[in-house]
Amino acid sequence: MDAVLRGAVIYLFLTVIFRVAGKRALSQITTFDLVLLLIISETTQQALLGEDFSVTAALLLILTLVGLDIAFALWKGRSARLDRLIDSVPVLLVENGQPLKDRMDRAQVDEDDVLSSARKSQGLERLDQIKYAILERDGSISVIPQDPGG
Amino acid sequence: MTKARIEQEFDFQRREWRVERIGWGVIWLLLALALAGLFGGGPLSRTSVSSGDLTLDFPRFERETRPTELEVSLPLSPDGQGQVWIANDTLERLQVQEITPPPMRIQNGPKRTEYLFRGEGDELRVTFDVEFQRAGVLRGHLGQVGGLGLNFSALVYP
Repeated sequence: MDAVLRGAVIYLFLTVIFRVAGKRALSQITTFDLVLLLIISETTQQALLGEDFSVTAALLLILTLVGLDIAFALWKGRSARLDRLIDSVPVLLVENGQPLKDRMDRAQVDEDDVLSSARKSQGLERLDQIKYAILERDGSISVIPQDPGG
Repeated sequence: MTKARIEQEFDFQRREWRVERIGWGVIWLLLALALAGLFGGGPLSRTSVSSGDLTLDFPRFERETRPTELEVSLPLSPDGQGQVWIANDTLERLQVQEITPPPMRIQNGPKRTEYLFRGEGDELRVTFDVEFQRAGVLRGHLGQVGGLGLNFSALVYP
């Protein structure tokens, strides 16, 4: 019982804390983000296991985390509200080459981030070549280029 | 791959989805059983046995190396003494970490180890903090020195 409860508490806590941290935080954009994630996982491991080093406890913890994940995925499929609550919504950042400054500030994204994504995914050089740049729910930025003709 | 071929393969995917659904059910069932204590540490996992005035509260489902307790209660003699023995082959399978209250004396015999306690009132409650050392079914014996003994068994998960 304790293993399952510990697993559930940690799962819910991490869900909330990463949600509050925002889409862009810890999305592994810098080496430091990666290191921070590693430290968090190390710390979490201690809390999950406690003094119980049995194989059964490890299996139960895995079952708890995966089981909750499946349950939430199913629930999110049924409820658009919960889906938004947990996974957030995509945000339009650039429209027809015009950065939407206010939103970008709030989302902690600057023009360099958008241009970096544009270079990597589309090979674009300038902001005016971008039709739409969208901050996706997972924190990545997707870029749609301007139509070549128009 | 042609479309016909892909559609053929789709049957496999359909079976896979079915198995997935069953798997989810199994996961949640196991979690419910775990919450109930079937794998140690829950309402289902503890039980008690008694023989005469001697009572033992112990985990019947437990996990290897997880700290747990054996709680023994027995009547005190008129001079305020109580003596408990645990069979040595039982002690081989569980490591005693702490005993509350601490025993006045521990005496190792060839077959069993005796613990002498002093208390007040007419009943003595002793808690043995233990860890089960090996997975499998543990058949344990303990008792009151000069009195009744009892058997208990616990399923220890690895």
